[in-house]
Amino acid sequence: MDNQKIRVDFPMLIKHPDFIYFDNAATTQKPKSVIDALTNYYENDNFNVHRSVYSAAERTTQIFEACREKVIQFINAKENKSIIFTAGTTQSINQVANGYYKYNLKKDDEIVVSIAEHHSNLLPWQNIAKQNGSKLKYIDINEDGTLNLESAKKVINTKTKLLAITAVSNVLGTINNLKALINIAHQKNVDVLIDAAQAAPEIKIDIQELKPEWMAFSGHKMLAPTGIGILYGRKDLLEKMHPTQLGGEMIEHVDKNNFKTKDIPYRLEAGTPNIEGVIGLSTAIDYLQSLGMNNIEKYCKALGQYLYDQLTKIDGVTVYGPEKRQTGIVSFSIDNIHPHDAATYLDFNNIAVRAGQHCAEPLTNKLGVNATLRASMYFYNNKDECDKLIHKIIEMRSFFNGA
Amino acid sequence: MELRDLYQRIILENAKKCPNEQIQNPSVHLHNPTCGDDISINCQYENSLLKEININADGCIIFKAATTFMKELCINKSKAEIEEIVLNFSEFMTNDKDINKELLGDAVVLQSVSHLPMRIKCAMLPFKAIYQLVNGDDNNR
Repeated sequence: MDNQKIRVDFPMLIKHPDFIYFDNAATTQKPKSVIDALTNYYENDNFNVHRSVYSAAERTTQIFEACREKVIQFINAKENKSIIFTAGTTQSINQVANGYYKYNLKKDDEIVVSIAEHHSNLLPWQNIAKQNGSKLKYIDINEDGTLNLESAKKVINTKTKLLAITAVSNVLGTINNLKALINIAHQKNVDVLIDAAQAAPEIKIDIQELKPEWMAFSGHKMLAPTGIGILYGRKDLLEKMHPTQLGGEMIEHVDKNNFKTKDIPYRLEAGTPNIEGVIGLSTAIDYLQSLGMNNIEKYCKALGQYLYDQLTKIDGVTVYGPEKRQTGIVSFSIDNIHPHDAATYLDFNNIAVRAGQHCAEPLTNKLGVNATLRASMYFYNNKDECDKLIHKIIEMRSFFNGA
Repeated sequence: MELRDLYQRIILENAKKCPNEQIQNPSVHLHNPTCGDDISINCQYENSLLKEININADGCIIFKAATTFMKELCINKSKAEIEEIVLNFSEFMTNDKDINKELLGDAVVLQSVSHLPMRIKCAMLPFKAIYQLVNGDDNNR
């Protein structure tokens, strides 16, 4: 992948050449093609889907449904009825919790998550566990931050009904061994939900190979606009799912007292959908596939490794997670400099990193810190930017400690 | 604004002096979930004045310096005086108009923080804690 050529595709990077954007785990920048697709939609195709007879709206409906096909192909699922458009990963997971497990978990059933979950894949399960009298159990991590598969084998038992697990830790940048985890779960008839928010942008996920029951991800972390997300669900489970939203678009028939819903997926997509988001996501997938997911994974991993190697050379810098890096996400801390102060220092030097708990408070507690710094890099970042960050970290130490 | 305005020597020095006492049952405990700034606080009154303030605090430089300043400002003050200090500091952080700077002592060096919306809550947290303490608000205990 030619980094310089790729950067030209991103107007933000061209317009702000001195700005180093290392917060891609929060949201990614958008390529020109995605921005143009949104403009084109509003200039030519801005009609509501699935409800109008005129041909312009029918064209928009076709464009909209073609994106469902594209998502199917992107995650190699089987059929388009298993894809629900949502507002993002958070909504997808909440929909599974409140539309399915709320009705299918009994007292003393168990839900298993890992200690490294993003709050989006934790709070809905805490809530359902409380409501249904179920128990929430945790898979631990190893010393080096990788998921402890032995712990998974112990925690998942015959009482477990669901394993809800992230594919990539948004703090440690580790890729969980989904194949092994799903194998452990399925042997005990446990459903699996994959939180792919951080994985979908960087690694190829193959539904037919992994066979999870559910998967959730967000558009905005993979070049698409905010407010569009995907819920993949096994068709028979989606058919049993209760809609968590009722209203327009989802019904076949309504009288004064009752209504009959349409089939999936429409039954689970009440209201006018985020059409521009869907079109943006479709264009984003085209862009990612033009680069190739394998190339993206390889590039981000190598860049993550480069930054890790440079950071660990600096005295007093602690990097979290394994030595062998798997993604472009690198969390670290600097002795005697609070992450918030470090982030402000970097901000004044045009470098955007995240400081804090990264919506994963149980994990930061487990790491024994109250906050960390996180540089999360994507395929448009490069080693030159890493070097600038390293230089500023060294400079920062004399600023704060030598003052 | 330069970085050195935000991180003046007096701020770095006062951050180092941030009280870090052992506190068993804090009357108020506040925590900033985005960055982890954390403060526990207790006090003893004598003749309606705050004779002793015990604080356990950890966090960023801005927060720690603000905690040191807050303690200096509030010791030996009445509830009414403390409320006035906190309200003045809050105005100072958000607005900077019509405030009595004399009430704020060395804390006025935190002025640069008011230009950084993301950091205002770091400076405000200890003042929020003392306000809740004198008002007996223990919802956050």
